[in-house]
Amino acid sequence: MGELESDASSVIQLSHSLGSQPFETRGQINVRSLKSGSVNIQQDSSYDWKDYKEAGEANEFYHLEAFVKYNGIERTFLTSTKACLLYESQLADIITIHVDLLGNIYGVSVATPHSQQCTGTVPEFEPNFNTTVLISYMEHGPVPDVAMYVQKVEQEKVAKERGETKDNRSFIAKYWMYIVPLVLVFMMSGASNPEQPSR
Amino acid sequence: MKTSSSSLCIVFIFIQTINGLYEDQIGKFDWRQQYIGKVKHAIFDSTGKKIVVGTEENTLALLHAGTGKIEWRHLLGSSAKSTITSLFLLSNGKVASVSNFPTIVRVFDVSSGILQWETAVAKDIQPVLCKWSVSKRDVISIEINPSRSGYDLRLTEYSATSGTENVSPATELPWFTPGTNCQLVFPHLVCLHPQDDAVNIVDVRNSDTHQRIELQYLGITVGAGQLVTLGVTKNFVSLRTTGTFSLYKVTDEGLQRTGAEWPSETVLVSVPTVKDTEARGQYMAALIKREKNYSVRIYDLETDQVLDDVSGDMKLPDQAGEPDLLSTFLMRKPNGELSYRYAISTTDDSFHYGSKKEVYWTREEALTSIVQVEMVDLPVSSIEASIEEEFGSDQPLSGILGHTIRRLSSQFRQLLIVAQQLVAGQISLVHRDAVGSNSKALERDRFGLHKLILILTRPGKLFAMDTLSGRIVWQRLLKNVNTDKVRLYVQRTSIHYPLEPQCTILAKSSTSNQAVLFIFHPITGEPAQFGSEGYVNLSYNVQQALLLPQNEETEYMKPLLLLDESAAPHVFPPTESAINHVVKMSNNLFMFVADTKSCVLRGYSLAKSRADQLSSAAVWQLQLCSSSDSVEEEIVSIVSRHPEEKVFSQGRVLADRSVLYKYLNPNMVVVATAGTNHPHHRGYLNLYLIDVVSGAVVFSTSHRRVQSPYHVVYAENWIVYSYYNEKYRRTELSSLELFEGQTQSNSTAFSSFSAPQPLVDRQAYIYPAHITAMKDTVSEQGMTAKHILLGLTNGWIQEMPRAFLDPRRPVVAAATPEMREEGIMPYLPELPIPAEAIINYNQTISNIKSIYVTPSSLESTALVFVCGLDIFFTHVTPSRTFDVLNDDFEYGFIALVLIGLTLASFITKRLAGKKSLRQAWK
Repeated sequence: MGELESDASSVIQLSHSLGSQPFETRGQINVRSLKSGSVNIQQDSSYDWKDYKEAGEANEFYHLEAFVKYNGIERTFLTSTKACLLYESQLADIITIHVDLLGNIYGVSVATPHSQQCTGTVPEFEPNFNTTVLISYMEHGPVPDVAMYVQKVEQEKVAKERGETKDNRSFIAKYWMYIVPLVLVFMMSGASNPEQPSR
Repeated sequence: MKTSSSSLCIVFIFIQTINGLYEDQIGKFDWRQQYIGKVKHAIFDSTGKKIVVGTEENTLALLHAGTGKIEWRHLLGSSAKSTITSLFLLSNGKVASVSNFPTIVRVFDVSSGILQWETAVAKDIQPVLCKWSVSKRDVISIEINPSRSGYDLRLTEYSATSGTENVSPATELPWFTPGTNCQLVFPHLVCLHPQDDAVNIVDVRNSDTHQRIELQYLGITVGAGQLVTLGVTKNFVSLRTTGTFSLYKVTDEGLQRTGAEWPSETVLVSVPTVKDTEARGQYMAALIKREKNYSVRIYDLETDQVLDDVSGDMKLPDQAGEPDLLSTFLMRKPNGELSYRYAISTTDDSFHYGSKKEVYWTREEALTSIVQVEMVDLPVSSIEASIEEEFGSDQPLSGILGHTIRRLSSQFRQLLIVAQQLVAGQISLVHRDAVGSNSKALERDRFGLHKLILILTRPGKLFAMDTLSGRIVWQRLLKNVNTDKVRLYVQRTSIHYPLEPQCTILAKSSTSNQAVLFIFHPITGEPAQFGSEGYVNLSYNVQQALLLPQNEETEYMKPLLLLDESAAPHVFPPTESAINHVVKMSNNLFMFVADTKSCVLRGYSLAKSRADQLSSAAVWQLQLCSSSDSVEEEIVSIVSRHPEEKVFSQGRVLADRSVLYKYLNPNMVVVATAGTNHPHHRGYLNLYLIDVVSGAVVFSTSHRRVQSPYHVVYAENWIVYSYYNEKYRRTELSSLELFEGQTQSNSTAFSSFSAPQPLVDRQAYIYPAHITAMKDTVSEQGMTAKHILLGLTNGWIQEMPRAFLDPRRPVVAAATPEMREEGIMPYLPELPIPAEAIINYNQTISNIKSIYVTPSSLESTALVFVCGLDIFFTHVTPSRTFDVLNDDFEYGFIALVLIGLTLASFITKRLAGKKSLRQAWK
C-alpha cells in the first residue's frame, strides 16, 4: 500500500524486442488502482525458446517498451536486461512500476531474480512469461527526530531521579578508583619485600 | 555517573576527529585572495590616488590606484539578481551607489568606507524606466510609469547628507513610447527610440520644456535599418551609428555638438576627473581602436583640439579582451605638462590601470566566476627525469658496456643539474619548509602537495595557479567560444613522462551551434598540436561527454567519448588506438543523458560498436518529473561518485563481529528533482538513486515543504544532502547509507543487471547555519576518514566528520558498549559547529560558490580549493597527519638521545670489561 496523494488506474502496453529486432507486442498490464497495487497482466511471448537462447549466446539485450496511460497523461518508458539472464531464469521476470508521491508513474523497469549469473545452459522450456509485477512507491524522507530525543532525555532524567539507573559497565570500569590504589599498594609492598631477606 | 561517562565518550570522539590549527600554522599551507567581481563602474577620486568601483557581484570597493589593492570592500546583498546599477561620487567626499532588486540607495564615506545612510525604494510595480543621477546636493531618481493617459514621470530627490526624500508631483510625458532608451543628464532627460529619427529632451523639473530634435539636425544621417545607440558620460551624451560617433553637451537649448570629428573607431569616451577644479569639464578622453592596439586621446573641448602630446598608445596585456569601461584621470605634472591615468575593464572581466607608458597593474576578476577547477600534477624534476631516461625503454646501447656508459652519463647529468641548482640557490642546505615562496620551480614534490590548479572561468579565461603561493602561472582567453556550457577534461597527467600531459576543453562555438574543443598543455598553457592553434571544430553538437580509462595502448591518454545530438558516439583524439580501446570495452560501455527541464533520462549502450562505425542503442528511459499543470518540477542536481574514488573497506564490522557489507554500485547516480506544488506554493524535493547502466531505480525518497538551496554529496555507499525546511525555517541535512546486508552477493565484480536490492538506512539532522556549498574530502587510497566540507553564508568552511551524519546513530540517551565498539555516537538532532572545525579560521570567504577537493600523494592529506567572491586554498587532514611527522618534531633532540645512548653503551662496555678483568684477578 502506498501513500499517494491521488489514486489512478492505468493501462500499460508492453512491447519487446530481442537485440536489434523490431518491437513486437508482448501484452498489457492493467493497474486497477495504483494505491492498492492491484494489477493483472495479460501477455504472450511472441518469441520462441530458440530466439532467447540465440540472443543470450550473442550477449544481446532484451528490450521492453512500456507505453503508460494514466490520468490523461501518456508516457513511454524503455527498459532492458541481458537476454541471457532472462533465458536462464526461464522467462521469470520482475516488472517494477515506479510511482512518486504525487501519483506519477516515472519509470517501468524489468529485471530478473538476481541469482542469475549468465553462465550455464538451461533445458528447453515453454516460452511463457512468469511475470511478477511490483509497484515501487516513493518513501517519505527522514525528518530530524527531536521529539523522540527529548523524550529519551526526559525518561533518562526521571529514571535517574528515581535511582533506577542500571549500571551496566564492566566491573573494572565501575570500581577502578578502588582497584588502582590497591594494586599500587601491593606493588609497593611487593617491590620492597624481596630485598629484605638478602640483607 | 552514566551521563558523565557518555559525555566523556563523546568528548573522546571529538578529540579524535577535530583538527584545529595552531597559531604558527596560519598561512603555512593556506592562502586567500580577495576579489571584487567584474568592474561595471569605476570613478577616480579627486586626488587620483583611489578608484571607487562597483561590480557585477554587487560589490562596492575602493582600490588603491598605486597598487591595485582593496582598501575596503562591501558586499551589498548577495541576492543573485541584484547588481549595482549606478555609482556616483558626491562633492563632499561621499559615494552614492544604487542597487536594484530591491532598489536601495546607499551613501558611503569614500576614505573610510563607512555607510552614511541607506534607503530602500519600495516599488509596487516595476517602473518602465528608472534612472539615477546626482546634483550638487541631492541624489536624484526619475521613474516613468504608465498612467491613465499615457506615461508620467516622477522625480524623487534624496538629500545627499541625510537621505531625506522629496517627491515631486508626477508630470505627464505624452511623447513617451515603451522601448525608448533614456539617459538622465540632470536636469535633462535625453530619450531616443531605436526606430525614431529624433531625440527627445525634457527638463525633468518642468515637462513643458520638451524639445524634439531631428537626428538630421544633429548631423547624423541614418540609413534604413540602422540603429542609433545612445550613451552617456557625465553631462555628455553620445550617439553612435555603425559608421559614426558623435558627442553632444546637453544644455537648456538642446544638444550642442562637441569635438567636431570623432573617429568612428572610438570605442569608449570618458570625462576625466581633473585635479584642479577650474579645468573640470574642459577635457574629454576617448579610447580609439587601432588595428590591434588601442590609443587614448585627450581632447580639449574649449579649443576643440586633440592634445597630441598628451595622448598616447595603450597596450593591454596579451590575454585581455575588448575594453568595455573606461575611466580616466588627468593631472598636471610639476613641469606643467598634462598626463593621464586610465582604468579599463575588459570583456575577460579583468581590470587594468595604467598611464601612457604602461599598464601598472591588472586585477583578474574572472576568478570570481569560476566554472570548473582541476588540480593537476606537476612534471617530475629534472633529476628524476634523467633517471627516467636512464631506465626508459628502447635504448640504442645494450650489454654491460652500454649500461655502464648510460649510468655514468646519467649520473654526470644529475651532478650537473645539482650544481646548477646550487648556483641558482634553488636548493638550500638548511632544509626548511619554503611554502609560500614564489621562486620554487614548477616540479613535483615528494608528497604531491605542490600542484597546478587549472581554473576555467565564465568569461572563457583559463588560469593556472600554483598551489603553494596562489601565483598565476599562465592565463589564456579562449576565442570564439560560448561559455554557457563548458567542461574541462584532463586527458593525460604529467605522471607518464616523457609523454606530455594534455587537457581538453569542450565548449560550444560562439558562431555556430556546434561543439569546439581546445586542447592544451596544462603546465605551460601552450596549445597542443591539434587543429588550428589547439582549437578543433567538431561538425556536431555534443550532448554528453565521458572520459574513459587509459592504458598503454592509448599512450596513457584517456579517450574522450562524445555523444552527439543524434546519439552517435565519437572519440577524441580520433586515433586508431583510442577507437580500438573503445571497441574493446564497448560491451561494458554505457552512457546516459538527462534533460533537466523535461526530466527525461535516457541510457545508451555502445555494445554494437565496430572499429569503423561506433554506434549506440537506447537501453532505458525514465521520465521523472510530474507532468501535471499545477506542478513545476525540474532536475536540480545529478551527482555521481568521484571517478577515481577508492573504497578501502567493503563493509562495517558490527559489535557482534559480523560484517554489514556496503552496497557499492559504481554505476549509481543520485538525481534530485525539485518542484513547487502550485495550489499551496509548497516546495518538495525528490531524490532518486538510479543505476545508469540498467536504468533501475534503486531507491527514491521525497521531502515535503522544502526549498532551495539543495546540495548533494555522494561517496562510497552513502549520500548526504541538504535543503531548507519551510515548515520549521531551518536547514536540514539528511543522510542515506546503503548496505547489501550480512552477505555479499558477488565479491569479485558488480553487475548492474543482477544487482541485489540494498537496505537503506536514513536519518536527518538539523544544521544551525545556511549552506552554500558542500563537498566530501577524497584521499588517494580511501583509507582516511571522510569529512564533509560545508561552505556557509557567513563565510565559514566547516569540516564535519561523516560519523556525525551516520544514519546508524541510534536514538538513545547514552552510548552503549555495543555502540562504542562499532564507533557510533548516540543520536543528537542538532549538529554542532565547533570553532576548531572552521578550516578557514578568521579568513572569511565571501559568497562561497563551490568547493573542490583533490587527493595528494599523502594518504592523510587532501587539497581543498574554495571559490566564491574570494578564493581560498588549504590542506585538510581528516584523520590527522598519521603519515608525516609533526612540524614541531625535534630532530635535534632525537639525534642527541641516540648519540648519547651509543656513547653510554660504549662507555659501559669499557667499564664492564674493566670490572670483569679486575674480578678475574681477584
